[in-house]
Amino acid sequence: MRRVFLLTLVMATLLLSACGPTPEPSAVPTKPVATQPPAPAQAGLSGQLQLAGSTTVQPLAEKLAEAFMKLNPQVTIEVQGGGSSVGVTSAGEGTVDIGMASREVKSSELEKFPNLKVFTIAYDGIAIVTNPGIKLSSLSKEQVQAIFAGEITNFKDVGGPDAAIVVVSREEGSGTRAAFEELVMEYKDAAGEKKVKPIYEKALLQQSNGQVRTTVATTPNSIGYLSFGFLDESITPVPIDGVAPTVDNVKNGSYPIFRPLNMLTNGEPKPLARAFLDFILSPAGQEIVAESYITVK
Amino acid sequence: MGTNNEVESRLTAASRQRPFFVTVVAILLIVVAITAIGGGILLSVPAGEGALGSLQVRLGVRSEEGMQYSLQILLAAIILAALGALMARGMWTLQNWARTAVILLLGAIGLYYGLTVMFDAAGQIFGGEQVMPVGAILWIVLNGLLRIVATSLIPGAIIYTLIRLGAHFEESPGQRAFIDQGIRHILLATALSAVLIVFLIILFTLAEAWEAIEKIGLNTMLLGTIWRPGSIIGTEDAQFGLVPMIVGSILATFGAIVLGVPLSIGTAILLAEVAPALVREIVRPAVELLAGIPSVVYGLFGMVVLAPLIRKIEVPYNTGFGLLNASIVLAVMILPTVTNIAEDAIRAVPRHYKEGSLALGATHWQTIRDVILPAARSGIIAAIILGIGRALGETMAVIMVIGNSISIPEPLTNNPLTLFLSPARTLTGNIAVEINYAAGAHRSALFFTGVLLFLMILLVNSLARYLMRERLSS
Repeated sequence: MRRVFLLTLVMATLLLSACGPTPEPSAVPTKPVATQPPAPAQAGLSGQLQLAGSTTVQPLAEKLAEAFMKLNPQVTIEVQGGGSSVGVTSAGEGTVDIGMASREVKSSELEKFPNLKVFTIAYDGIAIVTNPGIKLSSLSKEQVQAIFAGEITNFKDVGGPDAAIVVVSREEGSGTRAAFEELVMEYKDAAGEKKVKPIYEKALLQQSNGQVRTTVATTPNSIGYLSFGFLDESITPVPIDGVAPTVDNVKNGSYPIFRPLNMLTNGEPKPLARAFLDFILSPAGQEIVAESYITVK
Repeated sequence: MGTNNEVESRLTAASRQRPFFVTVVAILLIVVAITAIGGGILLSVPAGEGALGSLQVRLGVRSEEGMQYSLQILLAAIILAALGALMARGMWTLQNWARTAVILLLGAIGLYYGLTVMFDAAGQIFGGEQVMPVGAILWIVLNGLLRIVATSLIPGAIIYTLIRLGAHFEESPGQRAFIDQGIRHILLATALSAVLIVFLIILFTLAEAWEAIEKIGLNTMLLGTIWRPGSIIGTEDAQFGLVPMIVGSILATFGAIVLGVPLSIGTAILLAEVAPALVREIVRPAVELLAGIPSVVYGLFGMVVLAPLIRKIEVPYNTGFGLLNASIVLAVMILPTVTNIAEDAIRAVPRHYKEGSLALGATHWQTIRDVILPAARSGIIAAIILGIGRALGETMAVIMVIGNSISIPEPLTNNPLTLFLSPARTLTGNIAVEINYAAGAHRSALFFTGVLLFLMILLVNSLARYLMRERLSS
């Protein structure tokens, strides 16, 4: 009896298979049908771009990418952070299409990646900011240098309240930190050589502009530096030598602390990357840059 | 003698009654074999026309490379056909290996197809720019399930019948021994693979760290107190001293043990000895839940909740981020580990110890304190040491709350306890924070930090085993 039942089962499945759905797994790769030349690039761009690097350039790149993707719906652009050194290394090694850096490329990096091409897309100022509980009228560059080197340890020595200074800085691979060290922490030693004062060893080190902003905003008596693009109401910017950190002051040359925002590619950029870079340097792209940064022209 | 013959003849008679389904399956396999040979021959025919031609084009046999592969295709088809014929013969004569082979093959094909359908459905659901409406998603999923069910109906039925008919298949003694030995070897291989992986990791880390040992020197790294890799300033002035990180790791772990171990041992005693069943039902799942929380969530908790609380301590330079914050977070993280093992150790104490003590008139607490805990000592120490190991290795939560400064932790005021309010950096944090952009000697120094961590954990584990061995032997 059972044998008959099983026999019927097998026969039924055999019959069903004949009229069942024919599966077409699309994930199974099929070999190319014939060798045809690839279709030529058309007016409608498509493809994917990967960007990685500076956390300063990241929000700007995301805004530019959004605008570019609106114009070219077939394009996807992904933007990651990691810091300027990650941007340079990734671009040089070819892991991403475009690397972002908020500083100049060092000579040692150019030695390592001789094919690196640098495109400056904007200029960005670095603002010194304090927790809203500290109100300073102005700081000179020497005072900022002394504070961040750990030589001045109390706000009362620079015209503020009597409070111990908490220094917040960035990790060593940060382009913002590199630019800050070059522009603010440089001094001439006894022999007249240009040297950089090391940043206070007890400084709290954070991984991105956003983290610096959060830490300075929530930690009382703290001071830090970040890009203009990250200024908002949660922190208080400090005027340097009486000059407030604004885009206009950088443009007219009175605010000295600014650096180029660069996009890097390994050799000539591929067509889609080229199109994106052209868009950024075009008036439409520079308009987006002008919202919080300084345009190239 | 007579009965033997009878049994023998009955057995051979039974094996001669092949069930009909086996015949069916064998015929199917023979058909597949003939198709494979025929198809292989046809496909390798250079210039097919009509339907054959278009089939050749679709399979890519028509193109330049395809023609080169046609001989390979023919050979492959012949081999497949031979295997198919062999399998069919095996099924025909009811060999157990043939049955197993058919089941595994059909199972693998079904699994592969199921995965393909899953990836297909996922690609459809997640491929587009916009989010799909729930109805469309459900329809795609239902479709996929129906496809899987419909296509696995035949293989499923065949597998089912073959399993049900297991009694009819012959198993030779050689085959039984082969499978037995084979399983042993496979299990040995899986165990050895674990050993191999550990060995390879150590080898790889040491190889990468060798450059640092040569260029920077063990002396500088292990005794130097300044860590400034100088990725910006320039590598000539670079200094790679790991002492601040070593001190940071040790202090953070020490703080975690001081805060966490009393809590854990107390919880373990509660769970093992004191708690009524209801309390145990609540506490144990809660402790196990602690083990399941991802470490980055602990870091978030430390950043957002603990930091403002610690900042309330009125000490200059107190930022809320530092060793105290890290110690609290680590203490909570090692709680499940230490509690689990300590509880097992306490439960393992023989009952007559406790009963004897109670019989002599001691109270419950006196029994716990003077009899059970000393008896469970080796297990509790092992638990603590595992907690130390866990705390030493924790990275993500710690780098979010400890401040990551490069100085050796120092007391903030004259009070030595404010040492724990100072920011610091651990060895694990050192690697995590800098590995993204490190290059050259700097990168190699970070791998050396990894080697150092290895050695510390090895030391801690060996200490644990040494202590336990002493206990066990005495």
